[in-house]
Amino acid sequence: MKAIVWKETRIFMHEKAKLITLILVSLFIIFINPFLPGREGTFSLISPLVPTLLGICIFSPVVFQTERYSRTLGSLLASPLSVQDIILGKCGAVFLFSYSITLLTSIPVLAVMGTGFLMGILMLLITTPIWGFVLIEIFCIAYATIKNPMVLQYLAMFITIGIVITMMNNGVTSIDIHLFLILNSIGIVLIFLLYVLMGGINKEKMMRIIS
Amino acid sequence: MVSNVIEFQDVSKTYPNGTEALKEIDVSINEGEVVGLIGQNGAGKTTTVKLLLGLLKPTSGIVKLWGEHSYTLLSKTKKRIGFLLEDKGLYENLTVEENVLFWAKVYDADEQEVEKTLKGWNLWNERKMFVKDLSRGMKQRLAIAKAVIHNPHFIVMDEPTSNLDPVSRRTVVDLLKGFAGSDRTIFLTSHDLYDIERICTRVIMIRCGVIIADGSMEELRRQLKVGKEVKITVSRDIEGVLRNNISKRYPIKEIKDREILVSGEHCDTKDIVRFLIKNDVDVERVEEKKITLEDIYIEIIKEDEDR
Repeated sequence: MKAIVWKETRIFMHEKAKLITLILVSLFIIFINPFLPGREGTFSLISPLVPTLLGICIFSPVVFQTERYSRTLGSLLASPLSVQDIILGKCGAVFLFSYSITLLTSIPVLAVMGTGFLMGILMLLITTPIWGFVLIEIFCIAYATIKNPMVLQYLAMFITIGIVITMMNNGVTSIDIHLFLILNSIGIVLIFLLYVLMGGINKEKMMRIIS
Repeated sequence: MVSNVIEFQDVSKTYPNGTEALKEIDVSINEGEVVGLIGQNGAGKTTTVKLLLGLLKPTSGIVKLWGEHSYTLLSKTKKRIGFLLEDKGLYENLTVEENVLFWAKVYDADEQEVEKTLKGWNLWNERKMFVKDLSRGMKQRLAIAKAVIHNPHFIVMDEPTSNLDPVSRRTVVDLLKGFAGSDRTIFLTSHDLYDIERICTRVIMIRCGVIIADGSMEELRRQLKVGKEVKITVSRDIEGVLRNNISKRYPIKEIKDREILVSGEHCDTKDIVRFLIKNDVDVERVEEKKITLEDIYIEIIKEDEDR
């Protein structure tokens, strides 16, 4: 799995245009958030999800399209890596990139926030990575099993736009601690369930879809 | 004790679109054997390789590698296999070095081997180039280099010498011959029968998903009753009674004007020459043609078509 994360990371590093776009758009959305009218310097708790979702939009297709264009999936599936290793490795790489950018863009904003700092930090360090990974897993499984990936790209885009609009209008600035715990527990359970689901993906079907 | 590395037991494979790629294949390959699988396009070669590597599940029958089902091979068993598929397994948007390094990581191979491998395959100067910018020959060399970086016990290669220049081709053939002499099992498919003949100790011929011949070159020659082919050029046309006599007495393949083509397992050239001289026919030239794998292949395909 580490090999896949390494490989995907190298591929992302070569995709400089996509990387710069992701950083700039994330920076813009996160930085503009506390300066919106009526926001009074508060940090919207759902804003860290934006870079993660943008990362999914931009990098999830890359990790599967690379296999399609280079016609490498057969070699990957015949290697000692399992289907779970391959998909989880791809999820890991997308997560690593998206979450790094999330931290990079959210921490400076949080640091200058007067209110909502503690909850903001908790959301950024716990809820965002958990739910970010759940979303990445869902998208990666879908890319490995659904024939028309364009639908998924649009879906990720719509979710991102939805979150941005919510954030702009009346951004969530506080959350009940019980809800916070339930939300994260559900996220952790989903991560494991989706991991188990990955193991059930049929190699032959995956080859027909991606090759 | 010689043990089976590969076992195909009554293996059939039918694709979802109804194409029957393999029909009741029964083959075992022992440790140390160098086997070449040959056949026309669509004969079932790639399907056989994919079944071996666990990329496909047989519709019926069992494919085993070292006693394990190929479709559910354990990771540690897979690490003993080095393979080259038709699709090469190279990432176009990674550099040459990154590609080899990636496969070294996948197989837990020593990363120090990367430099040695790239130098050994004359790819060191191109290590920073993207694969998409390499020539087809370079890509093929790189694909083979990454396939053997972990020093595998069993090597499966689909068309390893295609797209290679003569020097690289020789390198690949020498490498495979080198592997062959070290107890490793090799399974190759190729259209280039000359390469198969140079490398393999056993040849399997496949046609429309069915094995039509299997054995060493010598066994295949015996099976076809063709040992060698001799062309005798004489001073005059062979006609009439002499033509009938010589045809009855010897395994004559063809008599055309002043040329007699003899082929067969027990073809005694000296005896034919003596017979011709005794019948006042001067022999101008005797050319012995070695029966190649290509000749055997064509002959077997013809026999199979006639059946």
